[in-house]
Amino acid sequence: MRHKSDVTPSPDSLPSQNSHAPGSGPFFDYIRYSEFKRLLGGLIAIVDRDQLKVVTVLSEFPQEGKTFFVAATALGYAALLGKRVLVVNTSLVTKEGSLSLKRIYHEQFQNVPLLDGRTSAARMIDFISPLANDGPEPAITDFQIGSSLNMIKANYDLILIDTCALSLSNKKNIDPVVIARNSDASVLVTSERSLNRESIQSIKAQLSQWKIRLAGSVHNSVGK
Amino acid sequence: MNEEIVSLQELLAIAKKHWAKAVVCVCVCAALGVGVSQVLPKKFKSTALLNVQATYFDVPLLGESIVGSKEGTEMQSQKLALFRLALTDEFWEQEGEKFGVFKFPKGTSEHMIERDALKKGVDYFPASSTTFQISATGNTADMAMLLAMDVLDQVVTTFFNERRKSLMAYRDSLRKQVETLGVSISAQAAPGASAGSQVLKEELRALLSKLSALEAQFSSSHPTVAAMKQKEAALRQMIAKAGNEASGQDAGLLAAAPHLKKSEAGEELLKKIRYLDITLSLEGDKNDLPYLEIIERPIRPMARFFPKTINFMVGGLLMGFVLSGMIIGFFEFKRASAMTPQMAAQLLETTFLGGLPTMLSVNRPAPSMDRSADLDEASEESEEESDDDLSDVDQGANDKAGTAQS
Repeated sequence: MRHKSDVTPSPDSLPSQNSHAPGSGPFFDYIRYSEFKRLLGGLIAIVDRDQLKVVTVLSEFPQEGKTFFVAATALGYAALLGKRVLVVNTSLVTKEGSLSLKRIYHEQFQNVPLLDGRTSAARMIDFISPLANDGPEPAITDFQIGSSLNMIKANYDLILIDTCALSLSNKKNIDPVVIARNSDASVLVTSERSLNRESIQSIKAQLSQWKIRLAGSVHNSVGK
Repeated sequence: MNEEIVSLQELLAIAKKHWAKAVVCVCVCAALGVGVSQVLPKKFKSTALLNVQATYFDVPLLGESIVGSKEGTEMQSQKLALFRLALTDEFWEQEGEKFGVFKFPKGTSEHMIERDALKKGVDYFPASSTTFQISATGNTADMAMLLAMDVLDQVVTTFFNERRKSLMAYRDSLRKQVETLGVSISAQAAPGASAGSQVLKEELRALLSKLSALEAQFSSSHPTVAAMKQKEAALRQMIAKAGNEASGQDAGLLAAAPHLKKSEAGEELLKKIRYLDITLSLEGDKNDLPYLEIIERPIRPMARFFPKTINFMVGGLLMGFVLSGMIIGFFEFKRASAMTPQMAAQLLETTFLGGLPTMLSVNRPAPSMDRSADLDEASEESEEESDDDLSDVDQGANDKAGTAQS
């Protein structure tokens, strides 16, 4: 039986409560916010309980906040818990106005200090993208990511995969359903746009059809 | 299947929630109704009541019917047929020209449409078994009144002419019957006239005795007494005519009387011819007919018949209520299809981890913090310290990140 305390730990249980969080910048400020820490605590509880390592972040529509959630969660894991995180970007085609995970990584996450202020010899957050090294075509990459991650996942405490929207199905994108099936679990990001019975039923039908395990859902009130 | 029952309280809550929309919708529709009533072309209506008694089809003194039937519905149908006979296309052409209704030349389809529109403006129907209402609609009050008067006059004239025509045809057929009895009317001498006048005198005597009996009971102004006096005058006139005129068709017939009197049939025919003459004489004035009476003459209408502002306003109000109901229904349906994040998580059978706080909200106390009234002092200090730190965050960066959060 699942206890409430398992999924929603109190903010007091988080390490940043009585310490100054390291680093600076908007994302470092963001992860110190209580509401986010509660959300992160819930996710940590599920990840720990179910021994999850590879988590895919999904959403029905673009610009619902997947990339932002991936970035904030990765930073939270690294900076607040001192755990190594690998961020995988599978969203090849980004809409105008969407966040660039690559840019965030290079500008803010490359050298995340440890909790006590010291800098680790190894980077706390790593970032890979299928296009970074002129890799294979996305159509092939869909099915190669699972085996690639299996080879390297021992080096990380958590692997977060950013995907394109479920409703975007075209040949240029890496299919989020295929990625999600190769991961341990998924987190769904919703916004006001997808919060209606029709969209939720559609998502549920897809998840059920492809046997994708949903670890939880997150709502982004800023999402379009 | 789960059936959702909406309680009265919920309905009232919905009404309270959308009252402003409903009020605006109803007011706008009512105003539109009033506006439309002012814009639409005005119509005026004038009515008349015409009483056509059942005696119209009777031949007075003979007690016979012109139409051959005394059945009520048959007579009503005959009267309506006379109405239709009266309002001919020629009549409508005249009326259309008179009121300047026609804009297209005669013979064109548009002209016929205009004529039909004029016809549709006039209506007649039985208000009772003997009374007919005639109504005419016009673009002006004067037109409505004049059109109603013309229609009424046309109907009265037709009723008058048709009755006279029937009576005269009846009389002519009787004359032919008399002729077929083999009497050479023209060959008869004047003495025969006395026989004809004798018949009339007998009739007059019977009438006078009846009249004296009635005068004992009623005054001379009583309609029955007045009618009998008229008949008396007509009979006297006929007697005088029969006595004085030795020539002519009637005189000839009277002259033949001695021969005809030999047979009962001949005597009866002569009697009927006399009665028909009397009736035709009595009903010689179109404006004073015993069987036709104008109960209500057309008058100039004071107010327009269409469009009535109050009706349009009430119609607008009703339409507003219906429309506001549909609008409220639409909003409620839309709201019902929307979900909360918790409901979505429940539907997906997963855990709702929480809402992502906005980048901008890190600069203000979170609602959850305000609710934590039992936080200890140490944690309060920690909050203040944290907020102080956050206040240093560059506002420009926050704005940018808040926008980019999606």
